[in-house]
Amino acid sequence: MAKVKVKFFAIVYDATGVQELDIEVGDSTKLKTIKNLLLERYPLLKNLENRIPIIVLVNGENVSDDYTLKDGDEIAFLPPAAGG
Amino acid sequence: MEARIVKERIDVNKVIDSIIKDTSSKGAGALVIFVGYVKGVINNSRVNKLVYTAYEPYASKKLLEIVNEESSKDVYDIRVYHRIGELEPGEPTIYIFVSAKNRGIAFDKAREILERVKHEVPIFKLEKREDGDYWVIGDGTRIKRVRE
Repeated sequence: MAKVKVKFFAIVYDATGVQELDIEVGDSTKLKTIKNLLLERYPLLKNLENRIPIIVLVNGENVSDDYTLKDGDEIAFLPPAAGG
Repeated sequence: MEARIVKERIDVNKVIDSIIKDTSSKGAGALVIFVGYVKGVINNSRVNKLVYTAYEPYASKKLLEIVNEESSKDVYDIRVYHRIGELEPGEPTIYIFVSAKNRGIAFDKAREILERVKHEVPIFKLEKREDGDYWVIGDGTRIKRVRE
């Protein structure tokens, strides 16, 4: 088993109502599995995904949906950047 | 070179003096400064404040990465400061300083850095206006906030 942290930012946080949560995942769990799990758990997140691109980073990096999660990984769900 | 996420205003004159002191003897002859600040009116609606948040430590890391990647021949110094927190109309939000061999290089580089910072650094903006709160998504799409 591995424990990963999930964080939601800005409008994505509004859609889930939680800023962060810890999830225990089995060995060899892929990022896409967690994404699908969260989209099912939070219907507003799924609605939002139809309106804007949601960026998913692992430890601050873009990775493929087939990335295998490791203990201690941090997954972030973010809207497109809006700095400046 | 310097790139930081900051809460407070930057002393612009102090940065100018420091950059000129560091670069004039190396061949630099131009310093371009860009300052972005909070608009007081958007879509005919009064803005009360902008709330900036950042995904740290990755926002700081990406800012520094951009500055390092944009360093090149004939560019002598780059400093970027992006503010976070609650900022009222007229408050500076971002400062970009580029010192280069000449004005053309400095203007081009400052513009390029600004575009990269706006699109690549995980910073988010909530616009609090008299007609409601709006999330600003990417380059300017606005979505009215439903949750307080």
